[in-house]
Amino acid sequence: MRFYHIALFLFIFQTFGAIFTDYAPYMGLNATLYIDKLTPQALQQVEEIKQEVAPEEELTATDPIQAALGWFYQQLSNIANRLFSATFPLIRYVAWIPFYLMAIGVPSEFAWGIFSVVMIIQVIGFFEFVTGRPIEK
Amino acid sequence: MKQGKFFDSLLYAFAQAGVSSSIFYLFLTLISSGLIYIRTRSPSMVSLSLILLGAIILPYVEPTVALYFYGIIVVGFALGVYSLARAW
Repeated sequence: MRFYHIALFLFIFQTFGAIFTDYAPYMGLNATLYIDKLTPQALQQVEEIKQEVAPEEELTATDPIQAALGWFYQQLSNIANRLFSATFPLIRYVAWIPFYLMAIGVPSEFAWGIFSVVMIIQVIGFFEFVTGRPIEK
Repeated sequence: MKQGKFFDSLLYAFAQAGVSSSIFYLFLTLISSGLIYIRTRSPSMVSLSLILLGAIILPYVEPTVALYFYGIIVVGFALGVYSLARAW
């Protein structure tokens, strides 16, 4: 159950780190985590890629059945996108570690690499917690 | 020994090597916590020392190094809660 104990520590570290991030200014701690925001240049790049992959003028269907199917598909994908983007504020509670590492000067690839290892350990630890079976033999 | 001379003498070697005083305090915090662990073998004492030293030194260092102390406080807090969880 070694992974379970490491995962337990990482989970506590992740959760309390996120709570600290929220309450640090009220506790008189002046250190802040700088979380990267999407720049206008990055947004423009996204729009360019969207136009390249699926240009808007080619999306109009002539067949009515195809158009209706397309409309329903669009509604479904809108709902899915809305639900998915509603979870975005939670990212700072789950994924503050890579942003913190980036803030102290760790390259972003390395920071996300560390975070992916953390998440793998947490998943294995959760599996051990649920099944009660050590899998690291 | 006059007040402050002891730390000045410790800082002098770091200043000669081009290391800032904030980084020196960072080393001091980590080394003292390591010594506390060697002496007491207790994760709770280490977590207490990390939280207290981090919180004491944090307001006096520049914002870039303050982030390291912020991380130290969080690690200390998580270590304390983890040791409590293990004991429970």
